Amino acid sequence: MTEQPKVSAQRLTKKFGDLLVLNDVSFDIKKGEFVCLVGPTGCGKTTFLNLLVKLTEPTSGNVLIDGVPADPQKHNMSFVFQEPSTFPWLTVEDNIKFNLEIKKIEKQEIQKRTEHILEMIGLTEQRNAYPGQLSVSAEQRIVIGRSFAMYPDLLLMDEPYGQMDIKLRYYLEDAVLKLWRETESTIIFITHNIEEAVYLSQRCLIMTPKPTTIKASIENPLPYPRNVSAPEFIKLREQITDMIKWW
Amino acid sequence: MYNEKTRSVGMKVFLNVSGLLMFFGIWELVVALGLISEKKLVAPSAIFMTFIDKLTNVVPDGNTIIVHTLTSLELVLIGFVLSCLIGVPLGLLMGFFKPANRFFTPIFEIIRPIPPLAWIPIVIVVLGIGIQAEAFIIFVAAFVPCVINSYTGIQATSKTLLDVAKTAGASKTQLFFKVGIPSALPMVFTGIKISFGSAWATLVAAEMIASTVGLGFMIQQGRNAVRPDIVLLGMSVIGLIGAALTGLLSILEKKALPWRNLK
Amino acid sequence: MSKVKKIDVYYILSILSVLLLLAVWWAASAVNESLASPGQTVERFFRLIENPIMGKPVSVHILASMRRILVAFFAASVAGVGLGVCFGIFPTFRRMFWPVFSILRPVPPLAWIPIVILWFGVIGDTSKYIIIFIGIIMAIVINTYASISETDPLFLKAAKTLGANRWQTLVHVTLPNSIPAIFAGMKTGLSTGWMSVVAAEMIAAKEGIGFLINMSMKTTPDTALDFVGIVLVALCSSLVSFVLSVIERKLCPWLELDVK
Repeated sequence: MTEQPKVSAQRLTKKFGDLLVLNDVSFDIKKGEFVCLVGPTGCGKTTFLNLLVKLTEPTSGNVLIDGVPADPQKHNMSFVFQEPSTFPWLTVEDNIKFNLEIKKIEKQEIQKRTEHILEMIGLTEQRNAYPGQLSVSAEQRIVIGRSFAMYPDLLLMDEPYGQMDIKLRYYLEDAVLKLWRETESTIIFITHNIEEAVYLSQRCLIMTPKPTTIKASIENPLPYPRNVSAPEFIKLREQITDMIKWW
Repeated sequence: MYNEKTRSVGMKVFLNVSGLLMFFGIWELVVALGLISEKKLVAPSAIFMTFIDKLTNVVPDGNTIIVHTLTSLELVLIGFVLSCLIGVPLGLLMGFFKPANRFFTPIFEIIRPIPPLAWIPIVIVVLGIGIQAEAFIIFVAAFVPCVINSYTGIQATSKTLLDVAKTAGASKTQLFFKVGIPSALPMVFTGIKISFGSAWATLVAAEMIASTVGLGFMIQQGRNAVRPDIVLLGMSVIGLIGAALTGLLSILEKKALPWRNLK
Repeated sequence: MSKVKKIDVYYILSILSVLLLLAVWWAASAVNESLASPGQTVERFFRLIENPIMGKPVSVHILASMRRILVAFFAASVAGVGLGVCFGIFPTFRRMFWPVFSILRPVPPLAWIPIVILWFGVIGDTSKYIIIFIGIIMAIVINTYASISETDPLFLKAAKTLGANRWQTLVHVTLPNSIPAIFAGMKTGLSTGWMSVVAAEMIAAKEGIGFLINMSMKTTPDTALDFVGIVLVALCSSLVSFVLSVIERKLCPWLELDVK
């Protein structure tokens, strides 16, 4: 008896005009799993995530979340985009509340979560500032906080830490792991940074470009918290690097 | 490249003032020396004297300048406020909802190139002579920029921000109110400012419609009576009030959009 | 398949809206007898061709208005871009004359009509040209100056490192970069300009579309004639704007890249 998968992609194909972007991709992601999509830049990873949340319609194939077609209005999911995506007209605090208000969550609960998230992303003191007054990396922290605030059971992250300095990245990588453990959510995380993928995920899906397909699915059994300089860690990292280099 | 970093503050002020002094100086001089007939141009000082006089004197146009000014203000504000109340929501809807766009755009494109003044004969027939007809002409003039700017503003809403709200489960209405409208606000304000400019600029023409009071009427009467001082006084008051109210709108804009120009 | 059908629905909406506009017009004319219906307007147009006002065929009126706007537009473009460039690149000139320009700017073009008539008389085209010129030039000066002073510093640095002098920078970098803004100013100016044409011709003229519109108010109101005038002025102004857009596209082919 197998458990119903959280996300199930069935023979996904996407064409833009004559251009075949995604060719017949199928996979399942278990409830509570942390999966990284790894692959070179421009291999259609973003298109792929967009399909998962129905921002674009597939040419053929299906995406099921909890066994039903994906629908952001029904599912409690959250998306962290690659581009800066704070709302410039809202203060830091109101940005974090945005998704919660869309979901019409109770006022007290919103306030409680907002305090918690502000603390976590270290912006409690700047809560009344506008994003335009902060640095780019602080802006990205707001975006991540906004997503976490939903306590999503499916979290999709598209290279969220791309523009950050190393220290902050390590901190936020641990933060996403903490959130994952606390909320038992399912996370799909896109990155081209292999070390990051190995550090975070239980499983890496290796993608190839033109058209995008999934070449391999690599289990990562290392126990958390992981040590980036441990020999097993480096071995796994090298293994994935080699796979990507080959294509 | 074209900056002036090396210039001192005193020099800047001097240059600013010298241009204005030259302008008014030459103007005074030309009149004082009799180079231009007084039936065509009067000196700035004479305009000021006329202003003092017109505060109480009702000759030749039947009212003091205060009455003219208040009447014109009332007229412009009616037309302008109505055009904002109708034009802004219309532009926002046209820019955000495709059916609304397809439905209203053709009508709007047909009406847009018509100069507001061309409506005068029709408006007189339909609304009669009076404040309604004048306010309507001003409304038409102010309406177009309101619609265009709101429309352009909301169309430029960032796709990423819409996607953020969409993936959080926002409905079409929520997208409109929580993402579209705030995104469009800066452009909406620009439109409102341009609208006000058009409304104020159309005043003189609107008051050509057989009115008996108002700044536009006053300068028409000034021309008929060959009183360049009255004409120039009217132009100055129109210019000053226009500039003051535009300034007021800019202050309102800053208050309403605190997230703009932070750096 | 379903996509094709959706587009059809939107087309129907567009057609419906134009029909609705005509219907409202027609209904209004049915309620108010002195308001001409669409049919009467078309009929009036043909009557105008057979039976010219003051012996002048329609083409004379159209050409008169076109001549006035084009001459004034040409003069205002040359003067406006020149003035805007001067404000943009000569700090001393800007410091001295921007304040003067700023106190003249808020005076609406139509408010100049009485004084211009006092100065240049009501008869003849001089007054009209000047009124229309004032209507057009303001927006061109402002847009030219604004876009020149907001040229991306990166472009200016690039030109400087390539050894361009001030004049070369202006001709090869600043001006081309400002063309879209200048054209936007021209378009804004033109719509004010058409308003000035109508105003000037309504006040005193023996021919022109504004003259036709004014004639419609004489003795018994002839709203059909006004509608003819409205349609003519709308068509003429759309035509001029269209030609301007074509020129703009020829001058800056790179802008097409932005069109979705």
